[in-house]
Order: sequence, then structure tokens, then C-alpha cells
Amino acid sequence: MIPVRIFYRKAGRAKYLAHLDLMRSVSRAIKRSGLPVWYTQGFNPHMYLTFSLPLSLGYEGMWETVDIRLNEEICSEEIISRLSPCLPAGFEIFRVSTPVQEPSAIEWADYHVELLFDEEGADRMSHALARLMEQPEILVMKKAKKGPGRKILKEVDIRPMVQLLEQKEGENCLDMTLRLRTGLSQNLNPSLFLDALYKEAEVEPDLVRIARVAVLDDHLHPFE
Amino acid sequence: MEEKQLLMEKLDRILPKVQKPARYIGGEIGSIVKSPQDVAVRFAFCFPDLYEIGMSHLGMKILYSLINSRPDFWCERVFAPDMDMRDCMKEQGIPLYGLESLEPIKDFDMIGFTLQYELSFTTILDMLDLAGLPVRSSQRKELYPIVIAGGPCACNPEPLADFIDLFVLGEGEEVNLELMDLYKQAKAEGWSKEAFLKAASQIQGIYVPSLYQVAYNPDGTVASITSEEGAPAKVTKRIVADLDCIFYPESFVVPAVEAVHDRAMVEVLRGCARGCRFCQAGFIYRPFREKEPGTLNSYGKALCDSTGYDEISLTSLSTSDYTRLEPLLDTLLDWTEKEKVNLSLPSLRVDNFSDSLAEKITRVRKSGLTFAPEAGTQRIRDVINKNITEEEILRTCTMAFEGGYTSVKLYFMLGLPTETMEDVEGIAQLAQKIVNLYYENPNKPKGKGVNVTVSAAGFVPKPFTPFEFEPQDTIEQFAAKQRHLVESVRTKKISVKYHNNKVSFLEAVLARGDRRLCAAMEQAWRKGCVLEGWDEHFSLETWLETLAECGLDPAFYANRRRSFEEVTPWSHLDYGVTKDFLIRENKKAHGDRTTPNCLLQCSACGASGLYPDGEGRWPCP
Repeated sequence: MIPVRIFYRKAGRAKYLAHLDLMRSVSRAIKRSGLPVWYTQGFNPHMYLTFSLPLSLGYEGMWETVDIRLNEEICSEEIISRLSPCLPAGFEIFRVSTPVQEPSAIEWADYHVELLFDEEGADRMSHALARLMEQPEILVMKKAKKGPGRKILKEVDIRPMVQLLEQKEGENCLDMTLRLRTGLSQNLNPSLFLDALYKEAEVEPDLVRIARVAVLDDHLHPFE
Repeated sequence: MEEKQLLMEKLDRILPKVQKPARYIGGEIGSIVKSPQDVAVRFAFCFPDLYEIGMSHLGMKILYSLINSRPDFWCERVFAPDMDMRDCMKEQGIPLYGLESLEPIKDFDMIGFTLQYELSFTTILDMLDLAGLPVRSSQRKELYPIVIAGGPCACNPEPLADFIDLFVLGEGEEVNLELMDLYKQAKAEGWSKEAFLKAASQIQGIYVPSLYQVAYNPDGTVASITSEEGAPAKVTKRIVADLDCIFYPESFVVPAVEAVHDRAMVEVLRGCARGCRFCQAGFIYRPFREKEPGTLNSYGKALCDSTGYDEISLTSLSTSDYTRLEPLLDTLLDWTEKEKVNLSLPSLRVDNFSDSLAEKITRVRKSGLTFAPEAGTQRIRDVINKNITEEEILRTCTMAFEGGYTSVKLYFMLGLPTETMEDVEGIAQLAQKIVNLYYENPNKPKGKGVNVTVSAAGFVPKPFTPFEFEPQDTIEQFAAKQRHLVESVRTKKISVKYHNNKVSFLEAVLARGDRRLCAAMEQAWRKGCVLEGWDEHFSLETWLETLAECGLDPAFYANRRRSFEEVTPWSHLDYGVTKDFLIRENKKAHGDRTTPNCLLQCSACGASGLYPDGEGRWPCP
């Protein structure tokens, strides 16, 4: 049983594939590829498949990973060449290697966010972003788990969970790169921060494009 | 190209706001993308329901692959958007588009709808409208797009006669390509739409409703149907004579969003040898034809390899009637077990469900068991020619319980001809006997109760069946029978489910309707009737109001007994089975008499006359 980590990009049409659909698509792709994949040994054998960090519906991902297990050693190039044609449109495998870190090592992720406006609004949004980042705290209502199956709304300060790496204003658009706390212990979805931003700006963009461009460990090294 | 970019940008605005957006973007494995300039005819295959329903449909998969096997044709898939997406599309001005090219279907050459159930008819109008086309065929003057429709409900397409340019009757594999070849010629030579339709009406299996005039009697029944412009007086449906050699796809489009039936489907046979008198499919798909086990095995293997599916379903109207089922299962199990592929057999019958069969289909995984006794008493089962006995039902359940099953689902119908309240009670009594059987089994699993689900649908009389003459129960009669059924059940081990009888009523109106319903259809759609197969969107009240406005009485269509002499709205269509046969069967039903199945004895239904060489073949003498 050989563990293998597959790194892929999910862009274009594929961003609309929800996580459950993605799992089904990937497991079928692996089956189609004919790779000697390892099955769990229980009463109801199934393919071992672990996604390190599920991506929200509608986001593109540039550093996505899925772990599988193979029954025999196969070189990375062959895995890539056999699996790639079996994936739906918008997927691109760019690397296959032995997993180095556990998914629990993930601490941060970088998101590229593009806000587009049909008319004016970009300017206002840009000012709001500056104001927001100067605040000592950003309080938002976040869904939290309270025991099994119970969910409550809780006020949290997300300011320590956000870093603004880059910001660029164009005509009717505002681009930014955000570094957000990500992972098992602390996790911030970009939509929470963006909602706070829209509230501050009192304007909403007409089109939003979000891509997760990097997934990092606590040393800010790419997750491998 | 720029137009497509614009569409993608518009989609990026709305898709994040809608449920299951992957239904609207295509790009699935197995979908076929061609270059528009390389093809002569572009075809939009439209399923008038949601993606997850349409993507389950085998006929669409077959015809999609078949058309795309031709380098000069390109077939794309189109489904009805769900309400949220529909609203967004209207708001953003996005016309209905094909999932492969993301280009508007109003610019395609042909738009084809599949008619699977009556309640999808208004969705067809809605899809034409979303495409940006007039819904009425007379208002679409050009050769493109030609709007066609086929499928089981095409056997009485009259309620859609004003909207569809031509109907394809019977099996589509051969006739669709003939039709598209004719269209290719018409397009190249610049024919008018009229010239094309006239020429198409000469192809066997093509029905052009505008070439037929319907006259009515003062009592509202049809007086006569006459053809014009050389169209045949009677249009005969098409069949594929040699089923084993006909095209079958080696690959399916694998749905991105889970479909209702999401597995490799292998069609083992066509038609049904049985002759259950309520079942339209059992008559309109005749004659009974099988494929070879070797052929089926290679389809199954090819499909699993190309799709990555881990389940094969052996589909047909009655798979356990396949004469070589056990050899087929043995061949399949040779490789499916190794490759972790499950086998499933829908449509099992209780009278030939053997121990070894049960063992074979459950070697990989155990699921619930479903049977369709259809009626609670032997008398009604004889009336409908179900040809199964209570003893057979009970024996099968005993076998299932001994094999470890703890739940059984049973399908019944209410409102069958000659049914009395005693027959309704019979359903509850039969279910009770099955519950008792479970507790009599000494090896029953410890601490586990039994669960018998009784699902009772309202009977809808359909054209081309021996019951096409019968009145449907009224909504009130259905309700009384449903109440009686629930009251007759005395244990929590039996759960009763029944259908919405308002839905069954509208189905009955449309199933045996005539052309005058077209006006009501359009009005009902304009008032918002769409996706009516979904209970939350169904409104009988809107329909009743609309029918009244159009001067039509729904009871005339649903609840009226027809004489054997009456001219039916579908009398100009020929599905092989003769009216004489249907009358004979109807009379036998009223005498509680059964007819043996085709494999035992031919009852001269007439379907063997459909073979092109004019000779009957096995199983018909």
C-alpha cells in the first residue's frame, strides 16, 4: 500500500463542482484510469480517498490535493498521464508525490479575490478595505458547533485571522490577495471577511471571483 | 467566441446563487464537443425536466452517442433549469443553451424533446420560450430550428400537436438518422419548412401533425382524422428489427451532479412478453426482442471502463424474463467481482425469482427488495392480467426473508377497472400476510422487525392498452379508496404511501386528450404551470380554471367510458397492436379471464407485423 498525494488545479467550469460531486468525480476518474488503487478491507470495500482541504463551491483552487493509496509503485509521470484524461473539464494535475505533511499541518491559505462592478463602487470598496484593515478588531457572526448536531451563531473577532498581502484597484474592479487562517483549529472562509467588507463599504460587487492560490503550513511554506 | 465569453461571465454572476450549479455548465466526462464549422446539422436533445432526472434516462444516452457517432452531426444535451436558475436566466437575458457548446439552441438546426410523462408537457413550452422561440409551430416559419419530439407519450401526441413540428413514433435509432439526413439535404438545397415537413412525412415513423385535419362530433368525440399533402392515412411506428446488432453506446456522459440513476445501464431486451393490461409500455414497445449475452457482457465492460461506474444495471421492462439471465449473470460476475462492480436488476417479477438468482444478484451487496403485485386480490390480478398468484408472492417473500432481507416494498394500483372496496382491503390483507411470514421464519435476524411498504398509485388509463376504453376513478373515488386502505392496515410494520390523485387525474386528461387541449396547455403554461412532475410546482386548480376558460371538461377525457366504436384521437397512429386485440383483451378483463404471456402462447396482438420483412419472428408465430 503506497500513499500518493495528487496536486491539482480546479478552475473554469470545474469550480462549480460541489465537494461531494468532486469526490465522486475523482473516484470515478481513478477507476477509469485503471491505476491499481487500494480499497479499504471492510465488508463494503471502497476506494481510499482523502481531500486535504475542501474548497467552497464556486471557488477556483490552484493548490488542491487529494491522497490516494496504490497497491504497487508507479512513477509520478505515469500517474499524471493516466489520470489527467479521465478528469472532467477544468482539472489539471500538476504534481504527484509522496505525502510529506499531514493535512493537520495546514495553517494558512492565500486567496486571490477579484471584485467587479458594473458601475462605480470599486473606489468605495477600496476605502472600506483600508478602514477595515486598520481596525483593531473585526467582529462577525460565525456559525459554530455546540456539541454534536447543534449549531449556533457566535460573535468572533476575525481580525487576527486576516492579512492583506496585496491590493490593486482598476477601473470598476478591486483585486486583492488575502492570507487567511485555514485548517483544523482555526478556519476563516473568505466569504465571512468579504461580507464584513461589503457591510463596511455599503456596496456589493456585481461579480466576485475567488481563487485559493496557496495552501501553507505554520512556517508559511507550501503544504506538501 | 466573444459571445461565449459573455455567456460565461453572465453565468459567473448567477451560478454562485443557484442550487447545484454544476447542472448548468457541462464539461462532464464523456460529453462530446465538436467544432461548429465541421458539422452540417446541430441537434439539441432536450429533456423537459431537471438535469438529475434527464441524466438518468437511457434513451437519451443512446441517441446522444448515436448522433454524435456521425462526424457531420453534433448532438448536445439540454435540461430544464430549476426555478431559481430559470428566474436568473430570464433576469440576465440568458437564452437556453446547449451544455456542450454553451451556445443558444435557438440557432441550432433541430430541437428534439423526449416525451416521458404527460406532466412534462408544459415544461416543453417553457423551454421553447426560454430558448427565445415562439411556442406554436405555426409561428416558427423557418427551416431552423425544426422542433421534434419522440418517446412513449408520442403514441398520443395530440395535446402537443400545435407546438411540435413533427413526432417520431417508436424506436429512434434508425429513423432519427434518416430524418437528420433529410434535413441535411433540405438545408443544403434551401428547402422551405413546409417542403421539409412534407418530405419527412413520407418516412415511416414520422408524424407531421399539421398535415392531418381532425373533425369532431357534436358530443365532442372525434369524427374523423384525415391526412393531407400525401401524408399517410396511418403512421406506423418504427422498430429496430435486429436488436442485437443495433448501435449501443460504449460511453455515457457521467453526470457531475448525482443523477437519480447514476450507473452503467445495459439494455437486455426491448418490449415485454407479459401483457399486463394496464401497462402502456408493455404494448407500445412490442414486439419482444432480446440481445445476446455476449453482446451485453461486452457493453457492460466497455461502459464501466469508459465511465468509471461501479454499478451495472440490467435494464428492461422485465429483466427476469430475459431467457438467458443466469448465463449472462455468470459471465458478468466473472469480472465484476474482481473489479468491485455491483450488479443490479430492477423490474424483478415474483413468479420467476429463484434462489440462485437472488444469490447471484446479492453476492456483491444487499439492498431492499421491491415487487409489484399491482392488486390485492387474485380477481383483480386476473382482470389486469398480472399472471401472478398470491402463493408466488408469498413464496418469494419467504425466500427473501430467509436470505436475510428485512424490508419489502410492494407496488399497487388503486382504481383498476372493476375494483371494489373488498379489493382495496385485499392490499392490506396481503401486506399483513407478508408481515406474518416474517415472524414465522425461525431464522429471522434477532431484534430486527420487518418493514413492509405499500405504495399505491392511482390507475391512469392509457392509449394502446386494453384499458384505453375505461373511465378513470374520480378524485373523490380515489380519496375514498385511499382512506379505506389506510383504515384497513392494523400494524405499524406496514407503511402506506399513495400518490397525489390530482396528479393522476391530470395525467389521465392529457394521456387520452385531443388537439383541443393545446389551447389549454398554452394558457396553463402562461399562468405559470411548469415542472409539474414536482409536487411543489403542481397546481390542478390552475388547470381546471384554464380548461373551463377553453370550454373543455376534464371529466370528458378522464372519467368517461369510450365505446369500442369511438374514433380515438390517436386512431391514425399504428403501434402494431391492433384495436381488435385490445377489444378482445378488454372483454376478457371484464370476464376476469387471463391471457398467457407471449413466450407461452401467441395471442395475435399484431406487433409481429412491424418487422420490415413482413414475416413474424420468434416469439410470435
